[in-house]
Amino acid sequence: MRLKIIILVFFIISFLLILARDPLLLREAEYYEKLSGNYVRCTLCPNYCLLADKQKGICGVRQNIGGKLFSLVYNQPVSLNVDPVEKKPLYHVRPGSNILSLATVGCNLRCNFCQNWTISQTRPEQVTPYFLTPGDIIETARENQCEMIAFTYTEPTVFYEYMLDIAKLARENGMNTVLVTCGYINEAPLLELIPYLDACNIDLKGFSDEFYNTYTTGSLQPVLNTIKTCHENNLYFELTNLVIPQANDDPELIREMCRWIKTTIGTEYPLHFSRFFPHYQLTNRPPTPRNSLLLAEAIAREEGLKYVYIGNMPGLAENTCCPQCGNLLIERSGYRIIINRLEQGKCPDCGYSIKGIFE
Amino acid sequence: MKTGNPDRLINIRLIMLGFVSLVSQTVLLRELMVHINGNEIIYAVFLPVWMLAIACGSLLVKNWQALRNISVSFLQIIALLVILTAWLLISPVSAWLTPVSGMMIRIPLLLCMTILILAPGCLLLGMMFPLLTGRFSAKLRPVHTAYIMECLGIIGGGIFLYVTLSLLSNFQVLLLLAALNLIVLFITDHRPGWLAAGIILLIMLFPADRFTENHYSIKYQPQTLLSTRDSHYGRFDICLDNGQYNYYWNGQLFANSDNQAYAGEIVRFVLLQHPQPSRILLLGGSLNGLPEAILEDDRVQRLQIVELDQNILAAVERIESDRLQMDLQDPRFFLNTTDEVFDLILIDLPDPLSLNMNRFYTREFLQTARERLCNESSLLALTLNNGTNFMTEEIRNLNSTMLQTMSPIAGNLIIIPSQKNIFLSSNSDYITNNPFLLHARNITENQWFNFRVIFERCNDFRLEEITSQLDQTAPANTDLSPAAYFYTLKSWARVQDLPIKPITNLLQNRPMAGAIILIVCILLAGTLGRLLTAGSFPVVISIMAVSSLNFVLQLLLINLFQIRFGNIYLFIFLFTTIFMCGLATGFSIGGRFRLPIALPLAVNTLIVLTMIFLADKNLPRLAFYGLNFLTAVCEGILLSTLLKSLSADSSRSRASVFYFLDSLGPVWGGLIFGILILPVYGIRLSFIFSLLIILLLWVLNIRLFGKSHSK
Repeated sequence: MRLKIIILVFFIISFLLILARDPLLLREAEYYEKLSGNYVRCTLCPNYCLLADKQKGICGVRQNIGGKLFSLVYNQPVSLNVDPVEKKPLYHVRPGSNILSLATVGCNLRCNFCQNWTISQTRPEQVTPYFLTPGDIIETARENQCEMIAFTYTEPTVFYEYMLDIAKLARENGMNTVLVTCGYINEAPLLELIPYLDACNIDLKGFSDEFYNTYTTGSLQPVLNTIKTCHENNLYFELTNLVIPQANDDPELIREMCRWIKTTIGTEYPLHFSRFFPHYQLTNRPPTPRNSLLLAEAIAREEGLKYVYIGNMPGLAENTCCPQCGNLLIERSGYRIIINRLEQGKCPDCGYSIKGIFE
Repeated sequence: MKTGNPDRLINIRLIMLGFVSLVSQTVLLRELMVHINGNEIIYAVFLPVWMLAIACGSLLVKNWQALRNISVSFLQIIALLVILTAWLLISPVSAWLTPVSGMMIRIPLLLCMTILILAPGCLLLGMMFPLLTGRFSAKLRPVHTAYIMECLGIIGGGIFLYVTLSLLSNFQVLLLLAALNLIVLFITDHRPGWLAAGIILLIMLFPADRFTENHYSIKYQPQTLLSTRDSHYGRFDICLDNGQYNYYWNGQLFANSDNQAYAGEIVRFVLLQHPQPSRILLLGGSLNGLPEAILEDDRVQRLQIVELDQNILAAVERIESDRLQMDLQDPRFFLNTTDEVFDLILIDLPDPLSLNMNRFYTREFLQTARERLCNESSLLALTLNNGTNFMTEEIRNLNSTMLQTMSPIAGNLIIIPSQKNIFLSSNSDYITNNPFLLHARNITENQWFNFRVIFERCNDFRLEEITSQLDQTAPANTDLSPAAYFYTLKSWARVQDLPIKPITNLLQNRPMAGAIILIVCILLAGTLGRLLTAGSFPVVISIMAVSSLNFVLQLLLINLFQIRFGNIYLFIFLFTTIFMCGLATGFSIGGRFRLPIALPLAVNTLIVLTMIFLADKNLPRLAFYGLNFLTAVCEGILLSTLLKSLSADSSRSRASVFYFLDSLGPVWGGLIFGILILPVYGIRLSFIFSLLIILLLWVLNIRLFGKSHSK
């Protein structure tokens, strides 16, 4: 009897604590299924976490509280910066602009080479975040002369509700929004989000399931699906492939990836080969050699991709040339734009229309 | 043994045992360190496994009758074979256990690997001590004699290593060790076969060099291993990967040849802070492109590089410039002794993940560096990990600590959140992190450093985040209170997913908890020792406490010595030799004379009290050597006296139990002090904590010997 009373009191206190929580900090999640016995299944990403009461998903920021799924990071970004848009990397989106970049903690992948592991592998209870409503974010962007907002650093899918509300508000305020994602998101939430996004950078980390299983705990197909969905729904995007020595730098694999891109979404989307630097748990793998990046670029060009860039290695394959006449259109040096000859997104010499957002 | 004085032959065997133990331990630990991409913290896994295995081997002799009749020569040969096999297995086993090459190895996996590699050889070595002791014909003090002989062997091993480590590869050292053993076995056993085998091994030394290189190359495949060289400090490997040179220090990647983006940015940010930077001292980063980036600036007339290891310096020598000057020295010792002055000192070293590295982040060191600056506009620059786009609690604490450490060094301190945080300290108002000023000063822009890079790094968000997030009340990092080391250790533990936060928080907030943990651990270890050896509880616990205390005192003395005189790896042989001389002397004195136990305890107490009060004073080298010797003599006398109280049915059993306890003591002492007490409380407080062990020894020994003395 005494035990029952204790359990009852415990539940009452828990319930009161939940009620007492600031509703601005605890937002019910959008994509999940209620199951019997207070279980829920999150349907936001391909992990499909099945969560008992009090349990958090793999991302660490979505929790089942009393049979409802909540986002624990709504209004709570931890990282807020003004970055050059080229850093995302997005080379065909308003070149030379600054972009307000934000992230909350958490990620739905566990990449052992994560550059932003201090954010992605951290849990809400380990940080003291900012408190910024979507309106505050818009205001902050304005104050810093940013006309674009990027959801970036970690995987923004994990703060989906926050991102969606900011994107909607940004659209109302005439701002652009950009999603920098690993593509690990289910189709339904992505389709709801796309109308409010202007551009996207999708990280195609490798082109084999083996790579995804070994290095990220994810799988390849959902990422490919995301790329196809974005393409079919006319969302402009650029692809990034982080070339990690001895992991995904096999020339044949890169060729296979380029062929898939060409046959599935065409040759107009830019592809960035980024240089890997040792981070997080993969600290003893050397940075990608220059020659490996140049080889990847050559393969992509051989396969017919029109815009191939090398990232994280300033001075290498940074410029945009017209695929038709071959003339230089945008000369870059680091994040600097030295020359931008584009006229309304077209080559001034032959009139070829360059895919991107140049207005 | 067919001829000669049997006891003399056993003495030779015991000397060889000490010799083999030290040499094989050092070589295998160095080898393991390289293959697990480790840092110095990893020794906290290696050493306990080593000592535990030796302790278990020793105890096996007492509890397993069949072992008593085993041929020691046979055991010795097997031990050597096992050690050589262990060396050969390290590379494939580490490759097998870590399918993702270049990944940080998790502690549980590392523990498994260490046990697999080290335990078999150590078990055999552990068995040999009691077995050899049991064969002494002399009735008087066989364990004492055996212990002293083993100490002499360890001294020989130290000298042998000092000579061979930078001349031969690790495998060659082991081959030479095996050959020497076989020759000694030939002398003691008179079997020509051993001599022949020894000579074959000596001949094998020559091709072994090539074999070693091929063996090492497995770790770096598919890169090409261009060169591998050992020095007293560790191994320096250079690999070629698709046109890029990658440099490894003890197996850990630390630089590469294609690092212009990093070097270009850091160097420019720093050089823009001085109107005329003509004399520059660079500590660290010499293979990361920093020297080249500095020398690109025509205003620089002289660049001084100080490196500890001649192999690294040899790699830097490829930079051809008459403005470049190189010194082979410990950087801290260099700054302590040089008369030269500089306009700018740039410190770009790895994070302080060891007390050795922490020496370059302390207020004392930075103060010394400040004194080597030539005028008011000179500046001191130090880089520190900033977590890229977000500082975790540990990284924030680390940066806060450095802020507090550097604040009093000069009138102005600013931070530039570049690829790493650059702390800039100067008395001049010229230093700035204002992006507009920096942009105005930056006349030549390039792809690595231009106005967008400046604005990206020094925008309001980043600068405000730095100022708002850093804790103004954080502790400063000093030689005796290594707060930066502590936070870096916590950060490393976070990447390792080690749940140490609750315990470190408890220790930080309640120092009494540290004392309680220490006492509880002593009692638990004593109880375990009592259960396994069936000895008297006060004697068992005393032997363990004495060996543990001395391990701890050695650890603290070595770290203090290192702070003052430079990297300890060069001096560790000297320290070991002095310590073993002291131990042998103490054991000899304790064995021959009936000294009151209070005497060594009182001397130990005095030594600890002296260090508590004089830890921050500039003690001369001789003082450290003297204290080292004295602690060892005290340990020898204490152990020798306690050994007499250890009841056993035979000298073999006594040796077995004694060796077991003596090996087990440093395990818990090293673990508790090395992992918890030293990082959390620093060196001075650790000395105070060591007083607790001495206090326990006083209490135990008053009880133990009080009656006998009164009789």
